[in-house]
Amino acid sequence: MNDAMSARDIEYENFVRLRRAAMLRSAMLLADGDLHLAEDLVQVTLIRLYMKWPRVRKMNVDAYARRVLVNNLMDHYRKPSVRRECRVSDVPDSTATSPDLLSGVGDSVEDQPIVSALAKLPPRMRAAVVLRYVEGLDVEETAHALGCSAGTVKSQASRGLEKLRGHLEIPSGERAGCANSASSV
Amino acid sequence: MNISERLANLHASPIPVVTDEIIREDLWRGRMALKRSRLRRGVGGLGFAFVVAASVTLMVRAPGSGFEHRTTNDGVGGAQQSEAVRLVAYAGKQLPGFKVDRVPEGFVLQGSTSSSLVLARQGEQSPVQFFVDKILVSLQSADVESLGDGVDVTVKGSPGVISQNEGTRMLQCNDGKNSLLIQVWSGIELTDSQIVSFAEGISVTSEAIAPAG
Repeated sequence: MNDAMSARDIEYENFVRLRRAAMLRSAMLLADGDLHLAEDLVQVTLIRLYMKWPRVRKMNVDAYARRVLVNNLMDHYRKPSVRRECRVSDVPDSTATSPDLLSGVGDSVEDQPIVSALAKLPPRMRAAVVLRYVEGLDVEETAHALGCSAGTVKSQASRGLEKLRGHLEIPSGERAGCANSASSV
Repeated sequence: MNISERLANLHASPIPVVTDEIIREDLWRGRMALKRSRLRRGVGGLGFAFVVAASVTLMVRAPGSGFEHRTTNDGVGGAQQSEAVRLVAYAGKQLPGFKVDRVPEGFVLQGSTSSSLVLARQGEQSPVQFFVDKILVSLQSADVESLGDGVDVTVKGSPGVISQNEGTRMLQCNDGKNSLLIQVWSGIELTDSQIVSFAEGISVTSEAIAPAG
């Protein structure tokens, strides 16, 4: 293989340098806190980006990458071998990680209870909550990433928040207080 | 702090620096994928012409006037089962965790971890954690109970299953003590029986540690 850097390589490398860690963090939250699955998803997404780079570079690269990442995640959960997995009701406090491979991404998340609560949501609902509230995307951007309507994003995100409050056993007073903010999803 | 703020704070968590090594590996993977894609597209046209020619030949040579379905494959997913690669005795240096008796001709032990071993073609330059065009031997968690779906085989008298995904074949076997997964990348033309023979030549040593979970 020719090691000379093409324009594609240089642009791609810059993108990876700037965005990879954030992609991995998002992927980890989307993937039940599973850092190894998150790393796989990011690698596959980046391969796809590289292959399509001449077209992708003219678009919103971040939006495209998010869409690919979410699609890869949903494809993963549709695999029969994954569907057969035995799911447990209690999520471990932390996930075993390989520091060399995963660069301590998991360690940088301080609020582990909310990460564990997120992991209890169904995949698409979790994706709606993560993209909307963690990534700070607006409804339209989230809908684009998920490939669904804005209405679906609103309902999924709202129900996701409610479920999170339930999982975190947040007192009813705060629930009531947050209901107003949830209504503006 | 309400729940929305807690979620937003996840985004504010510090992000570790992406090292040059990781970037180089991402770039390598992208280049390799692009190369394979171009190769497939290039070969695709020739392949179609070949398939048409072969089909015509089979139909002309079939006895009687009807079309006879025939196959030369007896392996997983139509994998070519002629022995294009020989297994040869391995006399090189062994790596910690595994002892290998035979390898496909032209392959060497590229590297190992406490739970895996990678074989690559001599002179392979890609990092050891890339499995494209390589053979991976991976010690599985003791918690893995099912061998999955595929063709049943016998490895050292114990059950095994060979499955295929996009041309890459995987042999999973369990001798009651160790559970092994052997992944043979698409394009490495070992027959199923050669994969079993290769597996039978592998011994897990005391230095290997099965992953948990």
